[in-house]
Amino acid sequence: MYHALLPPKTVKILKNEYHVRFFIVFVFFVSLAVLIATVFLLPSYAVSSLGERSAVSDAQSAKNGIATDTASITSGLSAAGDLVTALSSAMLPPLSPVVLRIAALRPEGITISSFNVSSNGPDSMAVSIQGLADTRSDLVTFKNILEGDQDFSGVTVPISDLASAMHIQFSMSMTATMKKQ
Amino acid sequence: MTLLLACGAYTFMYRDTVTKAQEEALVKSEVLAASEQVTEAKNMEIMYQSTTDDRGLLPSFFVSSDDAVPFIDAVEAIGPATGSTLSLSSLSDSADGGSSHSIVTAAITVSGTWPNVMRAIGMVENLPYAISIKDLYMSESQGSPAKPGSTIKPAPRWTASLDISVLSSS
Repeated sequence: MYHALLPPKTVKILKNEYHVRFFIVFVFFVSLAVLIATVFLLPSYAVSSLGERSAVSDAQSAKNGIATDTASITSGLSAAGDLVTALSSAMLPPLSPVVLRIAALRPEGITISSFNVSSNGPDSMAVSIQGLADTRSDLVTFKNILEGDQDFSGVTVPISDLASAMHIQFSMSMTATMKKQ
Repeated sequence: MTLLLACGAYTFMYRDTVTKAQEEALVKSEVLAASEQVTEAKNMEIMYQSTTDDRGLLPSFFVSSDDAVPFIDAVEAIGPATGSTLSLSSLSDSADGGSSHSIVTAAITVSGTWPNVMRAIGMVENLPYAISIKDLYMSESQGSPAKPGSTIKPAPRWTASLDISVLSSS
């Protein structure tokens, strides 16, 4: 059974003092806890600060290294690239293989008296030849051989050249697509 | 007051530590990427150094417009070397529209037997210059008449006209 021997006013004052003391003790412990946490945080703070400074320094030196290393290479490669580009764009495929190929494909009964080969670009040449065919059959055979060869296309013989049956002075034009060697 | 100060200090240090840790991680990833680039640059430099000799040869493919004599000598030497008659004419220098280099053009006439003329044309095409033949015209010409009493028919002679172009450096 609870008996209040003290007057109610005194009880109220004591309760207030109790609450104040409790609050002070609570705040003290909270402050102590925060202080301890702050002290324990100090090493992490220091490590992070040092780590960040070190990383920034490393990044800067790495960037400087890249700039120094690649500048000379880039300028050297650029100069070489200009020369290679000029060479590759200016070089045309050789024409003599076309002449040799036609001469090799020439059948019996065909005599070639002239070749005219002009470069049309990096992989195409206009070719015209003139010569003498013993017979019309020889001329047609020669035309068929050239048409069947993968290096030649558009083989054309004027129809007037087929008028004679023997000793035909002929001319022939075609396109050659021999690759660069 | 003490509590406020302690809380303030803790909050500041905590936030700053987290921020620094994040920045450190970010910078480290940049350093890693940069170090990879440095490695690539070093590999590129090794490759660059290993091709120094080849790159040094590139200018030799261009005829020097100040000193075209070696090129002319090289072309004219093909005639005696192949047993054919070779002449060089219409030598001129013009700008190349597609690049900063200029182009030397010339006309070459070669005459001789079929094998000799073809050998000469092949040698012109394979000169150590950036040379191209734009037009090639070959025709059979009358050979020298047979000696009186001889039954051997002389080999037919061929004449080839070549329009060549070669890159030149100024």
